[in-house]
Amino acid sequence: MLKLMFTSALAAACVFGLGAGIAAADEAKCLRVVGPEWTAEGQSVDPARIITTGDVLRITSIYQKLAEMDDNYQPQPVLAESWESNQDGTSWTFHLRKGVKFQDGRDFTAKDVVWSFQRLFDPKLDTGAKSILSMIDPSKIVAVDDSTVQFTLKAANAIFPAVLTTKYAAIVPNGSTQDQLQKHPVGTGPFMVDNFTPGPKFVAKRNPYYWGKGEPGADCIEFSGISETVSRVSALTSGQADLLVQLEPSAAATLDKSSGVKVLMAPGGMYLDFAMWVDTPPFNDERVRTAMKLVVDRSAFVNTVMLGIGTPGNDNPVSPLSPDAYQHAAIPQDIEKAKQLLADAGYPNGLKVDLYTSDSLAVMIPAAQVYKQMAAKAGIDVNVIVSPADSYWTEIFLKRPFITSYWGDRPPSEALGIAYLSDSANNETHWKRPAYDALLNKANGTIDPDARRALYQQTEKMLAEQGGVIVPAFATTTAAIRDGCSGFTPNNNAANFDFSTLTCK
Amino acid sequence: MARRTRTARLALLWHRTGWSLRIGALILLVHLLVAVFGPWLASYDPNEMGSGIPLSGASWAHPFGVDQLSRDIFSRVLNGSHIVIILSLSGTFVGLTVGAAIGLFSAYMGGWVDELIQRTVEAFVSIPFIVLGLLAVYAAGPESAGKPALMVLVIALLYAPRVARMARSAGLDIITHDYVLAARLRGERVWSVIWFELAPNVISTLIVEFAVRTAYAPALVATFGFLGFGIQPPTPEWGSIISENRGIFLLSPVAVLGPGACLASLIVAVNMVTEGVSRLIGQRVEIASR
Amino acid sequence: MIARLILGRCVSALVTLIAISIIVFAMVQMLPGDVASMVLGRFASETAKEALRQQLHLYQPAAWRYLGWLAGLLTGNLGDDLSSQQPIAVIIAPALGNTLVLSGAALAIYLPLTLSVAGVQAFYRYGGIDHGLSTVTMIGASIPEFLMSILFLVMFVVVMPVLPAVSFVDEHTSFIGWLSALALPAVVLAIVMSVYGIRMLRGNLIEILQSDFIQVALLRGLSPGRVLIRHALPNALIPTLNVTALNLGYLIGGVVVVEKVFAFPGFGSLMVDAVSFRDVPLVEATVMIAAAIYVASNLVADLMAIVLNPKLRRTS
Repeated sequence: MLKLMFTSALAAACVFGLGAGIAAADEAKCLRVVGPEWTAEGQSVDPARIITTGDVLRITSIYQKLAEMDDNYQPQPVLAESWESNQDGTSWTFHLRKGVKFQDGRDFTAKDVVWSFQRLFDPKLDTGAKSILSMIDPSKIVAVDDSTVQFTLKAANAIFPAVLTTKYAAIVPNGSTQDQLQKHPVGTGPFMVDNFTPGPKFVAKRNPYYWGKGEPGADCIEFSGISETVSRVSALTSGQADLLVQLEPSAAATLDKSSGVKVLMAPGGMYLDFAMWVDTPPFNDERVRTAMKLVVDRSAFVNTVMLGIGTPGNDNPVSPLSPDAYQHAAIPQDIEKAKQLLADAGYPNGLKVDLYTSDSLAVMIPAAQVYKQMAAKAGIDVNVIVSPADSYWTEIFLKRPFITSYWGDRPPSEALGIAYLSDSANNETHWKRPAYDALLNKANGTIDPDARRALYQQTEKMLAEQGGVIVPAFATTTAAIRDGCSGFTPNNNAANFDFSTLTCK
Repeated sequence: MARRTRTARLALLWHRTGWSLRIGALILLVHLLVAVFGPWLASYDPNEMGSGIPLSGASWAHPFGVDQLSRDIFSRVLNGSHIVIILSLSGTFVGLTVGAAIGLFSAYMGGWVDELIQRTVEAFVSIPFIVLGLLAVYAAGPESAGKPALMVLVIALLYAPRVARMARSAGLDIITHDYVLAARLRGERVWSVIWFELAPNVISTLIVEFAVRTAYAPALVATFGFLGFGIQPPTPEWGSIISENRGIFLLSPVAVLGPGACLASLIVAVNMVTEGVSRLIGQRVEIASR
Repeated sequence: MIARLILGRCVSALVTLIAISIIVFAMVQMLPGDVASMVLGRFASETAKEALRQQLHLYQPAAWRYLGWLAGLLTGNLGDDLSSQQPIAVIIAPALGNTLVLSGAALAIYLPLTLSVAGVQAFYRYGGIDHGLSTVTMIGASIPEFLMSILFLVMFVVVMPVLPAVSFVDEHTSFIGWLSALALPAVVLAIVMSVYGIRMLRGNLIEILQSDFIQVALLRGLSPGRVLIRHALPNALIPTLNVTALNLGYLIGGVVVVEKVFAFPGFGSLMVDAVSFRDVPLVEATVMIAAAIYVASNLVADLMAIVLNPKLRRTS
């Protein structure tokens, strides 16, 4: 009997091995892209609603925007071929690409653009786009003709096309509702689905009407997510996946040392920050805030939390690598000065604060711990409170005076405004300075690029020196691709994916 | 019959213990010593960053390597030993006491009270324990998440129903005995009977149950840590350490294997001792986890 | 007589199910966090959130909501999933199906594994093999599931690349694809369950092997192997059935860890994700199903024990 069992076990093992081989061969024709997480819940294929990585992957393969951001934060034409504004930047005209069709065969026209933007302002729709696109007056979007759209803005905005590259601004067919899109998403992107049902994988096939010549590079594409780092890394090295996106530092470090795969990096990426409420003691004293910022050893931060895959940050949302940065060198750590400032502010024996964090993004917890270590040197006792990931963004974010947070990479106009304008819905530091608002708005409305840059720099400086946000580091957007595949470059903005040129042998 | 001297009796006891009990006891002793003296033995502070090159593997200076935040993992393990042991013991103790009380009470009362309690206990046991634990952690709110006290309560919540079942069946075995009947006739109050008559006579079952549950408790805490709702970092609880470092397993396997081996050896040791001791006192034991 | 016993057990199971439904409902209500914000996202407008709260009858008293939900359950209407507005049955079906297949595979490995190892141990009891195997099972029982999963993953995917890293299955997966996807998680689950089953079965077998009727059979000249298999094993199986029932409950709800490590789209992860997302109807439905399966398998084990064991029929 034992012999029988042993033989059958051996046979089973052989079958499994064979099966693995066959299974791998079976799926070789679809591009297999794997992200770091996947939720069975809440899967969206409507650009008005983008919450998870899965949503971003799905939506960037099905839909397209008028323009896309390159690594220098300049908008590049996609569905809009060119654009121009009037003298003072209050009205913008976009000339649309001709001959583009939607995935169901109908033509792409200006009316689709008008509808796509107007629906983002529908109060019944849940969308984070409203605050980003707040300069648009929805009643003043006009289809001048079939391939021209004109936007008349509430206030002058010199970099409006860059704003339109936000992930929510994808173009959907005229008249489509969320219910319709959730079941039958129709866009102009390289891949499409006939019907959508949520599931552990998302498979899209080539769009036969796609306007890009010779694109996409494969017949189909498959998205999924694996939260376990070892499993995900093994999937790539064993050939079960073709591309891994949004890699965390430990996965990138592991893959760097693996053969058969290549790690790809964009020049920049998202930033981590610690947000203090500037209207709450002890942070309402600017000296305390400055002390809290001076304890950070920024390059050490990058080397530990991001394992070197990042850039030091300078307490404002513009990366020091960007030409728009007010200062390119990292602000040095200065423990003595921090202690001095605390003493001046009335805390000669140090300070005790609570810092909230969560593992909703893997690096947020190590970030808080590293900050705690650094702050301890100046006598600041940081009590790190880890909150459950699921409720962090509803219960803790915007509701506690000192939290860990992160923001995706954005052009300066959006980055400096989304969390720091007086009326911002995401004002994580309760920063309300009319002078700052005025400066930023003026910058946005300045046509001359050099003058605009100077104004942005002044805005950043004000925020860095007086604001309540500590930005220790930017994390470089990283991806990994296996040898045998090519045609993918990660973008600074981790939510910008372009799979149209990805091919695999 | 000759009187056995104390040494002779001890010698007899020693002979009756199996090898597994001796080895288990030895390992347990090492763990207890580490729990007490660990923090002194560690070469580095468990939260000290910059003690070595991040993600480097095993070396003489760093037997378990260095983690992503450049902390020495071996020092963290040494400092976390007492946390694991205290959490497991207290969680199991609370769960056992509550569960035993409920189980014995139910056995003694009989009738519809027994039925009702039994059904409720069954209901709790039927809910998958991870979901129950998760619901409990979330229900406690974001402020308490990750605190050791909450973990103790969650362990107790998971164990109490299972212990209650065991205590009830043990209690049912003895409530028909005369001394219980006598106590009832004497007019003793319910809790008095439970405490003075029932409990002492099921104590050996309960002790074995306690040991068995304590053995699994570290794994339970570690599993919650693995899923993301356990003890909050930077507390060097072993499960959290394994969980923190599992992303770098391929780069530095000792980062996971080291603490993992420590965790497993602790559980093995408790299991061995439990089995050996219960064989000595004549109890039948099943190493059950759920 | 026996019919009354069976009926009694069935009624008990039903009462337990009702108790479970109350507990689950109560616990989910206790969860903090605004359901509307969780489901619609933090940027949703207040009007959208209010609409959802009305839709969920959140302002009605809890008892009323409970009864409404219970009524829905009994008529087979599990409601709609909050985030995708799909009927819950549609969402649960594939996940549950996957988990049932995985459970089947795990049990298929678990049974011969447990029987053979326990049998060998009982046969060579107290000898070197017995002690060796005992130590192995003891160590196996002391390794938490997530650690075992990771170790197996690394062993059979990285060190010896024979199996796929990820156990994705959907309606397009071939039979062979299923086998290779299930291999690792099923083996890990089987081992996790069997370390307990083996110890228990070994104990029972040894007890029986030392009983009179076995001695008689041996004296009559039957080979020890035959005695073990034909006479001892059937009797020892009964308590093992009970353990198997417990295991089924574990398989449905407790394998979240294994599912996460191997990226298997199963019922456990669905349940846990539902709790994380506060998708209240989905949580309630999935937990009820998992608990119901556990109760049902316990009931079946109980009933089988009654029917198979004449001694138990007299107890009530």
